[in-house]
Amino acid sequence: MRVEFQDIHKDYGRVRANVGINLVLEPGRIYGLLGENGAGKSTLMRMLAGHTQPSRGRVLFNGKNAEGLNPSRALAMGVGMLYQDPMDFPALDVWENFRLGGTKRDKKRTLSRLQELGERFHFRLSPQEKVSELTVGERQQLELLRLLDLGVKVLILDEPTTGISVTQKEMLFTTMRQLARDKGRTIIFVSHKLTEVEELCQEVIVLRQGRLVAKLQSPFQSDELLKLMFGDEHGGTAECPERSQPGEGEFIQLEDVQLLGDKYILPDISLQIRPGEILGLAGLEGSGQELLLRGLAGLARAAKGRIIFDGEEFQGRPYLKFRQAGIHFLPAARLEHGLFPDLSLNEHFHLAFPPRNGGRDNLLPEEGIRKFSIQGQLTTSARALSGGNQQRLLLALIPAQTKLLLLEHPTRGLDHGAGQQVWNHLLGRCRQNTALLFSSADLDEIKAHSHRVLIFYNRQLVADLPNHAISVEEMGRLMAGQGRAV
Amino acid sequence: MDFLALTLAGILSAGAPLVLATLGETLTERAGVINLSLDGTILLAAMTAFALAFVSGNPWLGLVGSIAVGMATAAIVVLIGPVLGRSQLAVGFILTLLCRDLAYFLGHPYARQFGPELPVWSIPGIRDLPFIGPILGYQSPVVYLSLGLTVFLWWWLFSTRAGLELRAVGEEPWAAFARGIKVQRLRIMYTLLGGALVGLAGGAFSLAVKPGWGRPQGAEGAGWIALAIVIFGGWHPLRAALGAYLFATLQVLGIYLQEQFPGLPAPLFQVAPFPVMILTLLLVNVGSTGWFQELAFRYPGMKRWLSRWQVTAPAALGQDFRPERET
Repeated sequence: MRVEFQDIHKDYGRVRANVGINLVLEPGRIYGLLGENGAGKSTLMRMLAGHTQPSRGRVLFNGKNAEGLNPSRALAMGVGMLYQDPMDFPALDVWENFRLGGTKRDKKRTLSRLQELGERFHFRLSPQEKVSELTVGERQQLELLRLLDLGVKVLILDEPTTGISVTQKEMLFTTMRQLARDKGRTIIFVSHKLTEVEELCQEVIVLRQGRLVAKLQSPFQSDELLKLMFGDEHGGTAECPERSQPGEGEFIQLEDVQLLGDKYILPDISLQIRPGEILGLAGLEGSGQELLLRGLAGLARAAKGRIIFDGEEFQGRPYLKFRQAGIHFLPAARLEHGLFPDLSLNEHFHLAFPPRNGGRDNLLPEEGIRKFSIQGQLTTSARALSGGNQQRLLLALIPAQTKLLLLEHPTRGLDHGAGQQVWNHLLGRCRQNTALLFSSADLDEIKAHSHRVLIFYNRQLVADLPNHAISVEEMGRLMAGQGRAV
Repeated sequence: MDFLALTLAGILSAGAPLVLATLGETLTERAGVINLSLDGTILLAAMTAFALAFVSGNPWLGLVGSIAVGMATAAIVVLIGPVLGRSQLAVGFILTLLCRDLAYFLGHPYARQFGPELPVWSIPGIRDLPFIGPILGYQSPVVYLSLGLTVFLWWWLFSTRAGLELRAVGEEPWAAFARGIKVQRLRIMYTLLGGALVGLAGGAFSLAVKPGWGRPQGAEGAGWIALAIVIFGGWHPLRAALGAYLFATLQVLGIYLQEQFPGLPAPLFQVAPFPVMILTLLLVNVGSTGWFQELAFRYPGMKRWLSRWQVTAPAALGQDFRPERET
């Protein structure tokens, strides 16, 4: 199907998310949609999938005006979208997810259709399993099969490679090529990973600040794409400050610790961390890194083993004791678990640094907002901040005497510049001998910043290696359960 | 033997209204709406049913009236909650109090009167069977209805496409919307339907199980217990019915034990079912405790069996859904 955007504008209040976009997408081609966070990629795609309407302009399908589009109507017209966070039903079975909103069939035929499609694309899904038991990659495969079953002609993939294994990624790419070539489907691949776009796409569309800045044919020049995405001022490759050497001594020790989580148990973790050391945690979502961070924060119970901070045993102690010992945890759900959405910046600072004990050796709110360049007033609520500003606020709220920082996806959802700022601050902390553990879905980030890399697979710690001893490719393999454990 | 059969028959009968109310609320909550007004609705429906039957002489008309009352209160919950996007809990709570007082006030002229009751059906074929006969052979129609509905709704919820859509709406309304399911319409429909069953529970009380109207009627508190059993039953019709019968068993047991131990104060036996119910609730929810998970970890073979004990509420329970609001 031929898709045409004609002079698309979209405003959210004063924010102009899309400005005058004109674009034609032909069938049988794979398009890459590039742009940094907030460039308007998602908005444009959400309009195509019927989740929101343009403020001005129109979308044409095969020359016909698609007015009053909603998600189910868009799907009926043949536009399917694979969302970054799968839009499925975790509590229901795989086959039930496949059935919902699909062609009317009885259970037997639904099952056989699911199996047939799964075999065609070499996806192995057990129909009776609950979707909550699947990996992100498998959930994506299930959604993909469902959309194909509905006969979509335009397939939008929104950052599909975050959180899936290398094998799953390769399978996904093969499937995409197959669909474009053999079936004449239009594929739109939304991403900010240049290498993947270069690998998969025949054409690339670059958005910056809501405007379409380029539409290029393959082969692409990485430098040119970066310049288009970020403008001249960034150049895209700003250097990170050097990480310092970790200090001496073993500040934290875990001995055969078994951690109990909500969904699973992480067995037999033994680990030593030195002051100022930075450990990157790699693994697919739900592989165990979440639980290790929570266990170290005192939020998950240790059923066995010993957790020693500074020579003192901490297993079985309450969270508050961990906090008092100088351990600070920043969860991935920044707004939901890290901040109080409806409290103001001022209130956040006062809660974090109560003015007791006479003096205050920590930040005053005004200072904090200025020093961390948070775009907001004292009275702004946390909810109203952008993702980058929320993360900066969280960083500002870390007490000065913190000895161990635990971060989940420190730069997820942040654009290049904001991510850089976060790391500048974190590395500064580490120079003052704060140890740092962080998890990330971005292996390049792990490679760039850690002294040591911990790799998790299947709810186990499978590798603990110094940074120089492992390549990004090898990390990817270990995360997917391939290769030997070291 | 006869004694046991009669006791079981008594439990089936005493549990019937509770089963109906629990099934109704299970439907409502599966759609993602909480109708908290059960206790008041049941009383108002019971009063309406009895008054209508008393005036018209026809108990079936009374039963229809009770359904109408249940749907009417559910309609108010729907209007304030899903339609206008205000607090479902607040409106439910106020309705509870309002309906109860309304029932006592409007029902005053009919208190302690003799009125018609639903007939007892005797089922040919079943009534002559040994043991089963006395249990299932002679029962009120509401008992047969409660049994039939339990099985029907179980099948409906887990084996039909419509049931799947209902569960989808209560779990992830946005995902359901994206798949072309009419979320708002289903929520309204199932809340009204659930309300109808709750109303029916009231009619079952005043026309069959605890016939007549008075202050107290005897159905007081049933709505709250039903709300608890919905959770206890993990939003599953069979388990919910089981919970309702368990509570009925405890009540019947209380009556027997009271006869056995005349020395003990009577309120003890009336109150005992409630703490026992709390203990059961605790037991049923062990699935989410740490040691239970450790068990599953140590013996993976038991995982499937153990996971049945894990009860999770519909993910979008009580949440607002308005497709026109952009995120």
